[in-house]
Order: sequence, then C-alpha cells, then structure tokens
Amino acid sequence: MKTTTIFSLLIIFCLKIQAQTVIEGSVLDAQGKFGDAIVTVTAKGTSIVLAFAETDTKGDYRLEVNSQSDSLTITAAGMSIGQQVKVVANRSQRLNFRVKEKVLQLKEVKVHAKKIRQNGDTLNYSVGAYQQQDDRTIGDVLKRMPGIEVSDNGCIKFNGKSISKFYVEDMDLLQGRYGLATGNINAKDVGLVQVLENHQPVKALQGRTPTDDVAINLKLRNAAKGTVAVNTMLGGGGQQSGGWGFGMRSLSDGQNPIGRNPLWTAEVVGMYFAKRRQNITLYKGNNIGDDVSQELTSHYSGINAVELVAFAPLGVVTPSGSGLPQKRTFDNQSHIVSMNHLEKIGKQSELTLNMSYLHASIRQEGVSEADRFYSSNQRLLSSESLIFVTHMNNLSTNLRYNRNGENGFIANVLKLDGEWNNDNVQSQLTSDLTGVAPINYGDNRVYQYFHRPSLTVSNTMNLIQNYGKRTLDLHFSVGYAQRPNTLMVGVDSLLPQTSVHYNQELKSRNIAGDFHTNFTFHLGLFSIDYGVFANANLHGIKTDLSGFTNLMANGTQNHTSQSVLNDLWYNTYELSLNQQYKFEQAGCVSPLPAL
Amino acid sequence: MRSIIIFFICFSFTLHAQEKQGRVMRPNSRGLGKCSVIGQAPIKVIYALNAKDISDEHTYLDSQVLLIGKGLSKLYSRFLELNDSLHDDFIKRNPNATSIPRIMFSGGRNNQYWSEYQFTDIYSTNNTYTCYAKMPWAMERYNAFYTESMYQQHWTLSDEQLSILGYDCQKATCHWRGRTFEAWFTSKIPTRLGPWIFGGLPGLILKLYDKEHLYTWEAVEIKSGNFPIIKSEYKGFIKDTREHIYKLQVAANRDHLKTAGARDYQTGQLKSKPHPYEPLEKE
Repeated sequence: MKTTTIFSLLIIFCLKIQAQTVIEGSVLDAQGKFGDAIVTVTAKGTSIVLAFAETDTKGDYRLEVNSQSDSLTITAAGMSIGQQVKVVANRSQRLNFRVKEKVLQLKEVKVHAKKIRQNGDTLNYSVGAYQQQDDRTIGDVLKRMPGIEVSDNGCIKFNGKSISKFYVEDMDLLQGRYGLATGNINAKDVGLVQVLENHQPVKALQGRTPTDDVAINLKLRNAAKGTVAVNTMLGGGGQQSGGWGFGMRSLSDGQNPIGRNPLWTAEVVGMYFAKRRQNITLYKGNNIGDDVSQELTSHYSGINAVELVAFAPLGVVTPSGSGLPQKRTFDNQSHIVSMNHLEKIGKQSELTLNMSYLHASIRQEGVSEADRFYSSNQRLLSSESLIFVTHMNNLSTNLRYNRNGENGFIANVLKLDGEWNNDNVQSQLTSDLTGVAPINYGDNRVYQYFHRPSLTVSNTMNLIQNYGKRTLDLHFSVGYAQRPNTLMVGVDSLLPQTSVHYNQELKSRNIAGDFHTNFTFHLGLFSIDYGVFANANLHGIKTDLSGFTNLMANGTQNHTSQSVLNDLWYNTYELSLNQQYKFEQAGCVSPLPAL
Repeated sequence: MRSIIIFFICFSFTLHAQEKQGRVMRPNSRGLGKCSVIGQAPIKVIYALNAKDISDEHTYLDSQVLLIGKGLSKLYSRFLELNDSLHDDFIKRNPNATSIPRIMFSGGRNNQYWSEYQFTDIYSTNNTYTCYAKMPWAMERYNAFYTESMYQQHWTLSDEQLSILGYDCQKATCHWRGRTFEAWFTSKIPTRLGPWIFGGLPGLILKLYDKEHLYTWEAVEIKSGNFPIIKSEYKGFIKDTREHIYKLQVAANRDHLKTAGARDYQTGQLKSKPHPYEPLEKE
C-alpha cells in the first residue's frame, strides 16, 4: 500500500506539468492540391525554431510543441511556395494554409572572411584565421599575428612599439599585468584581436592631443561572455636526486640530495567576462622551477604615481649563478594567488581591484674550490660553500576608480605593496695549506640572516576637465615607503674560540608628494600650455651597527660593542612654473622653444 | 548564483583528434563521359570540407556543390568536376594523344589523395539518396552505386544561434551511426537538405561537424539561378549495398595496398601499409 502510494506520487511528479500544444492542418494551393512544405513553430518574437514538421503526400501536417509564451508564430515555407507566416494563440487548434506558387528569392552570398580588416585606426585580426591546433591560450595566437610580437617576459609590441593599454571587451581589468590575460584566456574564447593605433584612453583628450600610443583589445566570442570559465592544470613527477659531495668537502652535514621529490605543479584559473563586470582569479603553484610571478609583471602603469625609493644598500653574499637556464637550477616552492576584479558603475565609471600575493621559498647551493700550487711540495686549498634559502611573501594591491566622461576624466589609484622577505645563508669557508708543513688558515662557518620587510603606500589622483576648447589637468600623488631591514652576520671559527656576531639595523623611509596642474588652451593650430609643478621628497635613514671588537693599544681586545649610529633626514622641495607652445597639425607636432 | 562552475581539466599535451584521412591514391581521371540533363535547380550551394582557412579554397579538403531542385538534388565535388572537364577537353584537343595526365586539376590541400566524401556523387529524389561511389586507384572494379533512405538523422533543436554567410542559423544535434553531430541550419532556405547525406531539418544546413571536429562542412556560397542538374553515364558502375561499399572504403583508407590487392612483384607477397583512419560514420 505504501509502495503503491509512493509509486503513484512519483508518477504524478514525473508527468509533464507543461501542457503540450498540438497544431495540425494542411498546406494546399488554390486548386486544393498539396504543396511540398515545411511547417515550423517559433515563439512570438524570436526566430528560434521550437518544432517542425513536413507535409505528407496529402498536404497534411501535425506539430507538437511545448511553449510557455501565449502566442506562437507558425510558418509554412517551401522552395516553390515562398513563405507564409501566421501568428496564433498557444493552444491546440487546426490551422490551414492556402499558398500560391512563388519563387523563393534568396540573397546571393559568398564568404569573405578577410583575415585582417582595417577600420580607421583599428586593425581587426580574426583569431580563427591565425589559430593553429596546439594553441591553447590567446598568447600563443598573438605571436602568430603579423605586426604583433610577444617577448619572453610577456611584453607585447606592435610594430616595435610597446602597447600602452590592454583591454578585454573594452575594459582594462589587469592595469598593466596583461600577462595574466594572455597566459590564461583560452584562444577559442576570443573572436577578434583589435589593434587600436593612435589610442587615447581619456575621452576628454580625444581629438585634442595627438598620440601615437598603441593598444590591444580582445573581443570575446558570445559563448565566452557572461559565463564563468575555470581552467585547471595539475602536473606531477619525480626527479632523480643525486648525492651531494664535492671534492674533499661535503656540504653541511653529510650527503644532502639536491632537489625535491615529488615534483608538482598546479594551476586553477577562474575567469568571468560580462558586460558590467570582469574577474580573473587564479592560483598557481609549483616546485619545478617555473617563475610564477612572471605573469604578474606590470608592463605599464595606469597612472603616473610618485616615485618612492627607500634607500637600503644592504645585501647578503649569495652563491654565484651557474649560467644554466633558471628552470633547471631553481629549487623552489612557489605559490601565487591573484584576484582581479572590475566593476562598471553607472555609464562611465569603473572600479578596479587587483590583488596578488606571492609566497615562495627558494633554495640555492653553491660551492667554489680553488686549489693552487704554493710551492713545489705545497698546495693552498681554499673552498667556500654556501646554502642560500630565501623566503618571500609579497602582497601587492591596487584599487582604482575612474570616470571617463566626454568632458571630464577623473582617476584615483590607491596602491599598497608589502613584502615580508628574508634571506638566510649558511656558508663554510676554509683555507688550508697542504703538503710538507700543513697550516690551517681558517675554518669558519658564516651565518648571514637578512630580514627585509618593506611597505609602500601611495595614492594618486588625476583630474582632466574640459572647458570648451580649454583643458585643465590636475595631478596629485602622495606616498610613503619604508624599509626596516636587519642584517645579521655571524662568524664561528673552528679555531680556538673566535666568534663574532655583527648586527646592522637600518630603517629607511621615503615620503614623497607630487603636485602639478596644467592649463591648455588652443589658438587655431597653436596650443599654449601653462603649468605649475611642485614636488616634495623626504628621505629618512636611521642605522645602528653593533658587534665590532676593538683591538686596544696594549694588545687585548675590547669586546664592548661600539655602535655606529645614523639618524638623518634628507629633504628636497621643488616648485616651478612652466609654459609650452606647440604647433600641431595631423602628424606634425613641433614644440616651440619654451622658456 | 554563479555557484555552477564547469570544471574541466586540460592537459598540457592536447589530445586533439586529428582529421585522420587515409593516404589513398586517386583513381585516374575518367572524364564525365556521356551526360544528360535530368533537371533544373534554382539554388546552388557550395560547401567547404575541412577548410583550414575558409576564405582560401586551396586549404579546403574539397569544395562541394549542392544543387537543389524541385524534388531532385545533386551533391558532387567541384574540384573533381573541374578535373573531369579538363580531362574531356584534353581528349578533344589532342585526339591523337597516346597518354593523358593522371590528374589535370589539383584543387584543395589533399589533392594527391582520394576520399570517399569527395569521390561520391549523391542524387536525391523520392525520399531516397542514390550514391555513385568512385573507388580509389586499383579498386575501380568496385565502382558501384547504392541507395540510402533520406532523413535518417533524428535532430534535437537547440536555442543557440550563429550567423553564417549572413543567415541566422539555429543549432541542432543528433547522434547517428556512432557519432554525435552538430548542425547549423537556416529556416530561411526551406529545404530539408544538407551536405553529404545529412538532412531532415526545417532549413538548409549551412554548417555541419562531428563533435570531435574530424569532418566539417561549411557553406561558403549560395547562389540562385537556373542551374542544370547533369547526370553522367557512370559506365561500369554496378548496383551494390551500402554496407559492402562502406566496408571497402574504410578498409581502403586503413590500408589501401592490402585492400586493392597489391602484390610485391618480386616476392608475390601481398603489400600492406596501414594508416590510422577515423571514418565519419562509425557503422
């Protein structure tokens, strides 16, 4: 009883809730003879065929359609009867067509797909025409397009000129880090690559100032718009890690195998491109020597931020390079997470957020040995072996608001970059005279530890306003950078107790501000520019060094640490007024000698 | 809302199905022979088969013509038609020639080789296709014609639209003879025909391909006018079944020498040179 109730309930639920509409009838000509016709049903307003039927030998047809709309468009068409359309209510009925002999008129068409179309200053490259079988990402196809070169570090040039903007569907999501797009967007999702020559991204300046900048815009295929695409890649493997021992010295303790096992590489990339929103979020990680941060190289900056340099001339001694490709010598464990989001607010405003975080630890080992003939029966053997491990944690965030209107442009970029990095080097330095009278000149273990965090914050604002034929340009940028670094070097000598420990503290700061405003007005073909420029640059440096031992006059050593302190600020201020006169005609700009 | 995420793993080495055409030698040109006009067609459609660049016909595997008449249609290879007419013209101009070039017109990119999709002429009338299959070199003794019923595919209409040659096309999919096919048809041309022996949709099929993109037909030209439908003599063609011809064609593509019965003239052994091949119809 229970099973039958459940069964019958299931059947009821399985029944189609939508009612099916049955339309039948005949397609006959004026004499009542049947016409060879195809009858199709489309929902009113669309041209998508929902159902179709062919007339039989008597001219009768029967259509079954499931549709929610309240009216349907029924079309009877045939080669010799042309096309007849009737709009009916969506309910089962009988519908007859009376058709006349009519020759079907077709428009003659021929395929013309030109590979490159030129449209004013825009060149359109059809991706399908250049794509080959093993091309996976759009970056692979860009390399084949004539005029476009993609260099090893991801920089794109058109006819030798680096591009100044990279758009996807007319929006700049990546703000200069277009490696993330060329390396991850699938080639099959892109329909056209447009090269925009003489590109001026600021609408308020279009037609006023000549420019020879080049930009690239990717136009996606309809299927790729408005959908979330996720690409995943997983790879694994193993490598033969040999024993490590070099000459007469073995590094650190015993035999350490070089390289890690197992090897892995993983990538997850999520992309979303819609009319008012774009997003690329990815994670990449590997320990096979690939440089994950390469795609994050910024090839152009959206705005001229003030230059911030926190002066910190410290560093550790690292093993020297081998000359082999980095991929073969990088012993790393790297992860990178990047999130880029663009939101279109209103008709002309955009809000862009780019965030990326890199976490990597890289290990390097190096040994150098020198074996010299000292005399006929003596040799001087010196060796230096270093193990270098660096830990990197880099965070980079960029928040940009801009409003690109016909008469006014405003952009504000807030940048925040943080680094928490440290380097760690352990080394062994030995020097021996071998042979008849052996002397040990030193057997030292040296430790270097460099803690080097840094922080940079800046905010830049740019405002361009047109007043009729005159233009006002306002630029204000302010920023702060700091580097509180610590370098510790310790030397443990294996000879009777001589160990020293040095500590260098350094705190470097840079506060900078930039302000300039320009007012341009045009008199015929001349443009006259007046401007005010102000800049303030403050550098602060504070250092503290400890650990040196002093050799006293009487031969004893004074171990009291003497510190060397620095605490100074170096500030520059600048204010200037300038004027410029230019003669501009299409293709010819000559600035007159300005005062 | 966007919690539906489509997950797919793409390997760095792409397992991309290559179009696997056999390396089968062409038969010698025979010319059109005696022809007769069997009808008139108001519509002529030209399809490109496996084009690498749709605007350059040298990259097509074949350029095929579909003549649509009232109750009658013909599908044939344009490259072969040009080759055959040059052949006949050569004979007319050189009646005393003792030999003829084997191939007069080299069209398309695989022009040294034979393909059953190029070398089969298909006539349709009365809900039946009559296919005249020309067999490759050293297999001309198997030249035959066979019949197939029309509208074998059962299509499922989909919402997607695409613009081909200025016509708005709608997508339909079907599973037929072991493969899944996608077709884009336009109801503005009310005929139920398409390339090869595909049809049954409420409009002309302008683009058709299998899911793995091994075979792609795309319309490149549509003309209206008054085109004569010509049927040649097909001298020596015997009546055969589709199954037998299909088996021969697939075997020839997989190993032409063995199927043709080629023997090594020194040892008398049957020669064999296998080649990977993916047929359009799996059964």
